Amino acid sequence: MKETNNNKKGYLSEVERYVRGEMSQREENSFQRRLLRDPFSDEATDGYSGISQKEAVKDLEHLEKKIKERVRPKQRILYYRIAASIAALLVLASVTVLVLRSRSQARLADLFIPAQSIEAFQPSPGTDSAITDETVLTNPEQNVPETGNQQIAVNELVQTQESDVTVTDVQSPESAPVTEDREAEAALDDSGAAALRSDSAVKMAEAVLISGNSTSRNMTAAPVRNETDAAEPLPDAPSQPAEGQENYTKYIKENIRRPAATESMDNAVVVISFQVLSTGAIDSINIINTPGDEFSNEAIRLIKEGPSWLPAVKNGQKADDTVTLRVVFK
Amino acid sequence: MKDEELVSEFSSSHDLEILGELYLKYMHLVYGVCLKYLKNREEAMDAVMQIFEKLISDIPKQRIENFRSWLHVVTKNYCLMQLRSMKGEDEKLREWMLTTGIVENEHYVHPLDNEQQEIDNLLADCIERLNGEQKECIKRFYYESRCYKEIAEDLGIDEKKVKSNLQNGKRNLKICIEEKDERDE
Repeated sequence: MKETNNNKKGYLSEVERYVRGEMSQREENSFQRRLLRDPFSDEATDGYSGISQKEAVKDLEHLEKKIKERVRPKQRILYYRIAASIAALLVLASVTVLVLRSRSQARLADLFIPAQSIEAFQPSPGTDSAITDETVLTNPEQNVPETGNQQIAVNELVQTQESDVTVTDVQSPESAPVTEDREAEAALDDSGAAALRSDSAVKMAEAVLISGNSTSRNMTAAPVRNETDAAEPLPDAPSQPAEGQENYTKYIKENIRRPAATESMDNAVVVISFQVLSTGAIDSINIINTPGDEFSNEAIRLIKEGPSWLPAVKNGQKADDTVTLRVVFK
Repeated sequence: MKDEELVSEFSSSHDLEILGELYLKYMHLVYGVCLKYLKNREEAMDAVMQIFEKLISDIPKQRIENFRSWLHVVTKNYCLMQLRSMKGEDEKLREWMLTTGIVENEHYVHPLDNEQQEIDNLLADCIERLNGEQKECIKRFYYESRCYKEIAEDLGIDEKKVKSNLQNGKRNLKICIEEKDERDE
């Protein structure tokens, strides 16, 4: 169970996208499934929904620093020195900004944040407040036009400083491959689940159709299909393997090649999606989850070289459709 | 190195760096949970540091089978104690009681999470026995992959209700399956 630093960033950006409602329906469901079986992450996600990702990253870095100081007291002095010089710079910058902006009360609170959060690093906070007072007293004399440029410069300074301290995540667009850490976590879940059922499963490999659009749900749960269908009108048809789901699974089983030098991994699951165009052609193959490139390439090869697909039918007409498959390496 | 190995190494050596390494792995979760209950960044950050101190003294005294779940419980308990000692405890406490779920054993994979292609007849049968709302929620969430919000709109209930239906439904299914298993043996 590896939850590295990267993994945290991945988790946080996932939480942010979840809270903002930026996930696709499929993604949201699988995120919620993970939360339901992991109460720790579930509760943490509730907590993070109250603050922004930027704040979260900033707080966590601050905490990480404090924990590291706690466990390695020797390095404390060095930390203080660096922190003190950064703090001095930041305090100076924010004090100037404060004064310049002192008329707009609303902004004050915002600008104060950098100065406050630095306090914890400061060996003697008393001196800062002294500086603040002094500057506040002298500066209001200055008139605004003269300091206009300076104000912008200082603002920039504060921002650069901030972005140095808080490493913000760059969010990948929805269609881009998922970040590595997410994969690791998801793969872990999958392999955990897979390990437990491996005794009963004699299969060497399996491909499970886990999505298309909502129309393909009949693939996942045969026993309840009738019930759910009765509750809603049945959509035309999702795209499906031309020779049937069973044959397609059989094809995957018989043709899957485990990448060399991965013997140590018990189970590996690649979640892959692609479009079946109205012509029946396969397009836009996209890896959603993978334990590694070798596995992704093999999954892509299987789909490219595999049996053909029938296009989906919507409103009586052939239409493009997205299919998601789980390819399991055993 | 595995969590539990780090735990036993710390218990024997009291090397804080080992504990720090272990704690940093889950600190983001600890902080999130503290945020949830304490609802304040400063308080939550203090709590993260205090919980670390608590671990230093508690870990050597305890037998910990699963560090991650154990840490979750410790975190929640700490937050509960904090809330108790604070003003306006009643309101926060009541909320805490309402939102506290059961910590599932991590090694247990619920049949619903076991993405097998053919769903057990047993499971299907147990699902049919669930009460109406739980059944509808479970089916939509696990078989149609709909998310909380959609299900809530669909059934005209609150999102929180959807989540509790799923949690309770899962628990009832587990009980139902275990009972049936016992009968078969």
